[in-house]
Amino acid sequence: MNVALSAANSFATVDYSADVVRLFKQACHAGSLAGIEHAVCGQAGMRAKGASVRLWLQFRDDRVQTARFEAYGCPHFLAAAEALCDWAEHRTRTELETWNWSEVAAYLAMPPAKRARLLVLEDALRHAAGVVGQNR
Amino acid sequence: MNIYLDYAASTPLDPRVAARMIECLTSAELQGNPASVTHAFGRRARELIEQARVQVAQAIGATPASIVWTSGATESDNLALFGAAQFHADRGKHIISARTEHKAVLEPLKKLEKQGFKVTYLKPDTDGIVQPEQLQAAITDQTVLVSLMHVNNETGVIQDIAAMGQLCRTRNVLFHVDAAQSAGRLPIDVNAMHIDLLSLTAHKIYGPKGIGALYVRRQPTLGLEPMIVGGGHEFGLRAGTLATHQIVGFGTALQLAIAECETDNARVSTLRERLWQGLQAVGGVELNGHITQRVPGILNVAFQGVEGESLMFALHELAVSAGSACATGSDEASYVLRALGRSDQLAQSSLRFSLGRFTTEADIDAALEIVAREVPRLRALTGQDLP
Repeated sequence: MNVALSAANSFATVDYSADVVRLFKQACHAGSLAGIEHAVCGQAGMRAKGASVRLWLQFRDDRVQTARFEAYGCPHFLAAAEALCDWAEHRTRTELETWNWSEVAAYLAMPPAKRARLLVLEDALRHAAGVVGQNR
Repeated sequence: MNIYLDYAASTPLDPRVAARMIECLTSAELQGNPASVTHAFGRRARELIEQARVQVAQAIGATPASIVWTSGATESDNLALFGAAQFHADRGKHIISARTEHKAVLEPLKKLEKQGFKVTYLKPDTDGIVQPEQLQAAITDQTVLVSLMHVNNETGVIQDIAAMGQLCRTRNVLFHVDAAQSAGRLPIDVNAMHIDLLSLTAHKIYGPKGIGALYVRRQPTLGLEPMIVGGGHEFGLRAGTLATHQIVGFGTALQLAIAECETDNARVSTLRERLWQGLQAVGGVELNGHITQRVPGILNVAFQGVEGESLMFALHELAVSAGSACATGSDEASYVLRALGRSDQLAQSSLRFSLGRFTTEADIDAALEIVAREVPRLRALTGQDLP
């Protein structure tokens, strides 16, 4: 189901899926794990380019115990960051490498023009996972 | 809950205007073609149209014969620009306008450039004001036409039209003004302001959509090349059967707007100030455009630290505009705000709140409650030190 904005604005032609609306509004993984023990961070993108994210992962043994994000971007991007954090929790570092941006794009019904923004998320995830690798 | 704060895009129809229009649509006596003056049905419709022409003319200090009905300000702008440029091309092929004009002016100008005209686009100050000295410096012997808007549709900033008009008249250059946002809100006197062509529309002043007018100076008569031909209507400048109910609605709406201008402006100013104070309390906001030289109903605000599309989505209960509502389907930063020197990022994070006759204190308070809830939430999502 797609939800069209009712506002009379230049984005009124953009349709957001019900999942985008839900994830954007809840965003229960928003936040920072700065200073938290066993937490690592991956960062990618730039505000000036329209999408920027800092992904925080707190590991216990080899598994993500908590995932959090700070992000600047459109509703699709913020929803994708929320979805990524939700997916990442309780996964091993090896499993994190299987994250597939195109599946998220399909899940959120992202317009093709916006899909490249998911690569920013992928970069942040790889960066965070890489930091874990270096720490081990 | 949906709160309408988009009066600069279009105003709701005033019930008093609607009543007059319904009368026109339902009365058997008014079903004739206003051009069919050979019978009573046509003559009665024509009579009402001429009454409306007087109402519109009086509102801008013009004579009724100088009012040409159009479908709205966009058509008026097109007729003024193409009509004047083409008719007077032998006098020169230089036109002056501003970067912050509406697309209804900029796009015809682009077409005229392709036809061999040279256009100078004046750059406003960071407050959105174009200085008369800039216009003076830009006028050359080849300048045939100047086109400037009275009030900017995005920022609400008012230009010094009288000073610009004086300059144009002194240099024998035609002067076109888009008054879509100012008519009925600010005093307009086409003679005192030396305006040769003036674009008007009904749906910004609580009238119906789809009707507007172009004032064309008659003394001395200004030549204009028509764009729509086929019947010789409207003094040969705009062919087509006139829509009696629309025109009557326009005349009534403009008459009401003039009569209630002072009270409307005072009330809307108070509401706008309440809104601005409330937005400032949220923090991290900047006003776009001149702080005082503006119409009461428009407040354009940049929200720092939030992304534009997410801001609009978070505030979807508010019917507000990002950039121009006429430029639909684009998430590009507003060219008007970019012309004022705003960064792409800040221009994209700007919203236009526009208020009007039916806005209430409760609307403003409810809007502020939503902004105060959503903007900090978005900022918290972002984290302030994110690059």
